[in-house]
Amino acid sequence: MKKIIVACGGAVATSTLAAEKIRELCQREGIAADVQQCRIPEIPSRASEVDLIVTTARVDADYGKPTLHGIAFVSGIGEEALEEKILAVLR
Amino acid sequence: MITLVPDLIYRRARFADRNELFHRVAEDLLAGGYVKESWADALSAREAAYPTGLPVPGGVAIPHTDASHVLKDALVVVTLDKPIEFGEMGAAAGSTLSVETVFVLVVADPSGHVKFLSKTIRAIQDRAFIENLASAETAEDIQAAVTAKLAA
Repeated sequence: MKKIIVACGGAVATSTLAAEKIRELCQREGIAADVQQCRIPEIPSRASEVDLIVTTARVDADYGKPTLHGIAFVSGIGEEALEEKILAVLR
Repeated sequence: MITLVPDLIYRRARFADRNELFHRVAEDLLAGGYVKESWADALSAREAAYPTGLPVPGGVAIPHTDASHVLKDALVVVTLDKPIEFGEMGAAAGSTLSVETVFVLVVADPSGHVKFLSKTIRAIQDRAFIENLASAETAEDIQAAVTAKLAA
């Protein structure tokens, strides 16, 4: 089981959408994944337990885990490229 | 599904900047019992820290803030007479883009509205839909177009 956290500023809109898209992607690709949402400031305390971090806001910090920008899920621009990057981390 | 009410549709509105827009929307949301008094400051702080402008055709922003400041769900739709600068989501600090349409997401329980949120965000990626809102002649036309789009 892969653990993924999806973070945005308020854990309201953008991370809700990105989490949903990642769940769909994992299901489609047959990857067992636990996708949870959180706020950006909560990432450091949770990073150790996850395989992948996806953020929908800009973060410059290095959490010591693969971190991808999930903006493409919100803007619709570059969505497939982002899906490929996610799969590359999870496989 | 969150019902769109005419009171929360602003057609070809004129605002000097996003603060003026936020102020007006916050006043109306507070008067309508949708948000707590703390919502306005929380919205401004959230937008400053995590900007919501998206580089979709026409430029669309989706300002929103923590659910704890929200009492009742609402969707606010604003089409602008003159574009306003918003920070760009996920871009380098200080980078801005021109926004012509604003969807303010007022959601008390995000987990209960996954479908609504994803439909709204998919809708703003649709150039024809955004152009349709910009050219709408009445608030009712905007209401009908958004309602149909989110129900689709």
